[in-house]
Amino acid sequence: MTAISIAPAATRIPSRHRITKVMRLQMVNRLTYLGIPWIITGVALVISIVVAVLISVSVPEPGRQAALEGMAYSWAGLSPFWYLAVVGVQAVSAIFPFALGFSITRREYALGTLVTFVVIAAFNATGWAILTEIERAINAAGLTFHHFTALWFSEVGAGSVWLSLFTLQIVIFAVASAFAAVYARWRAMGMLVLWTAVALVVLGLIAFALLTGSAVPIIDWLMGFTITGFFAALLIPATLAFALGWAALHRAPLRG
Amino acid sequence: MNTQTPVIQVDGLSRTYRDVAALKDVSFTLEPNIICGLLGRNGAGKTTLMRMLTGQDFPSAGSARVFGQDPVENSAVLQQMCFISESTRYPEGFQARHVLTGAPWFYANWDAAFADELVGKFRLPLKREVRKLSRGQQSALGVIVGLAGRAPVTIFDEPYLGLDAVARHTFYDTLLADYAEQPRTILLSTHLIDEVSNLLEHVLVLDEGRLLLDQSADSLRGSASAVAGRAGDVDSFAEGRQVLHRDTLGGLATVTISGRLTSADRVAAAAANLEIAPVSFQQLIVDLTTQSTPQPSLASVVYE
Repeated sequence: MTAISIAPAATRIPSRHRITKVMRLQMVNRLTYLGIPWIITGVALVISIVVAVLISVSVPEPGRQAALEGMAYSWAGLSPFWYLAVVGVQAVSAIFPFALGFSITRREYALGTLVTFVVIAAFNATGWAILTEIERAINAAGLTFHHFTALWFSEVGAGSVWLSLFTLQIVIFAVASAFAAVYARWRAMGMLVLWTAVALVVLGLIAFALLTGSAVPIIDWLMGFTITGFFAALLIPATLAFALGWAALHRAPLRG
Repeated sequence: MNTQTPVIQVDGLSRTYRDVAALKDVSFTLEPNIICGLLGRNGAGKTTLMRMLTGQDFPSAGSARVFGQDPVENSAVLQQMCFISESTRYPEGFQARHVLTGAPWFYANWDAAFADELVGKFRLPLKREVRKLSRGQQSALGVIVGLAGRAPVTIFDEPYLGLDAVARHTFYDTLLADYAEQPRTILLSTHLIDEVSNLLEHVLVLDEGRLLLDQSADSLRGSASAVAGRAGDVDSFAEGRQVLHRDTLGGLATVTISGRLTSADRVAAAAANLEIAPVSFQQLIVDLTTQSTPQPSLASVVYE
């Protein structure tokens, strides 16, 4: 007869603590999540200031103000966001196999990583929203300069600025990590299928809109959203992307 | 009747990758608090088996149970396990100190003082990016985590890669000394069989995905003999015995014979001018895994 022990003997760490520790593991190298995005923010800001100075010294007085207002169409304030796609991929491709090596379950890893994304997005959004408000105050004081107050950020209140900054990050993290999770599970074939599926869905939506004559109503419907409503609604596709990522990851074997 | 409580129980475990069978119907149990060697050639299925034991991969058939439970997504079980793999890829920017800072978050029995002592013993630079450490230093980092983690089940997958002879012996000596103080179940896959043969209490040998040998190290030691002499005499002596390996050079032959030789056997061998020598662990494993005919099932190479 074989007797099987059903309870490991040593001390256990509660699951919620392990999720927190996955967060700490993700944050061990703070340069990835915080350092580089804020370095990019700083560099982009310096470039915008230099551009503003060049406009001020090179454009004659009659057109100078309009030229400075032209910076309101700059995407420079969103420059760190492209890097966040790299962060989303690395959080899975680099940390997932490493975390499994630390005897962490896939569920603990996924929850810890999701919480990390939310905390980082909230932190960054708060920082950028504060800078947006400072820049708004500078403009109100009569000095025209648009780096953070570009695009829609100059038109909405602080809450909407924060929400749009937060949601954009979450969407980028969700999509990038979902792609990385699909790669972790199915490698190149998974990528091929996923990209093909994305192309087919986009084509299908365009075909539907054109063939049913609903393109204009759809555009009107989208334009009817407030900035706040639009970015709040973006959390739905972000949630779907996270769900796709988890669906791929929960049975992903460790390779290599 | 087995009254021991197995810490690891593997039943009919198979793993197939497309058309490649990495593991084929592997079954064994491991008692707690032993050092077990997992031996076999490259591609024998050792890493696949260890990944299945730690829930990093999924069986195609059969089951692997640790502490009586499926380890897959089982936090209670995984917390009691530490798997140090030579293929661990450290995230970009991670320094050795980052790894040693993170390890105690996940291993409840982590001994920080012991880890510090090992860092000194292995002369591991803490503030250099792990990816820029030498292969040996990366292995040392894994060894430190595996030893200081003191997990009830610790699995080392070829932990010595790149370690110099001094560092390897530091690892063996430290493992043995710490194991004596803090007994736990250690599964060690290695190619340097003779180096670890004195550490091992149990041996599992995999070959082409099948379990070839599941035996205590004590019963394996001296369980085969090399008989050398003139080919005709050697063959006469070997007739009716299980021959694991045969080498010839001119008119001379050497055969590895399974089973312990009796006094009468030795007298007969001496009379025929045959030399008898013990077979090392490593030679035995080499002989077992290079036989021309595949083993049908678990080998029964050793009998008293």
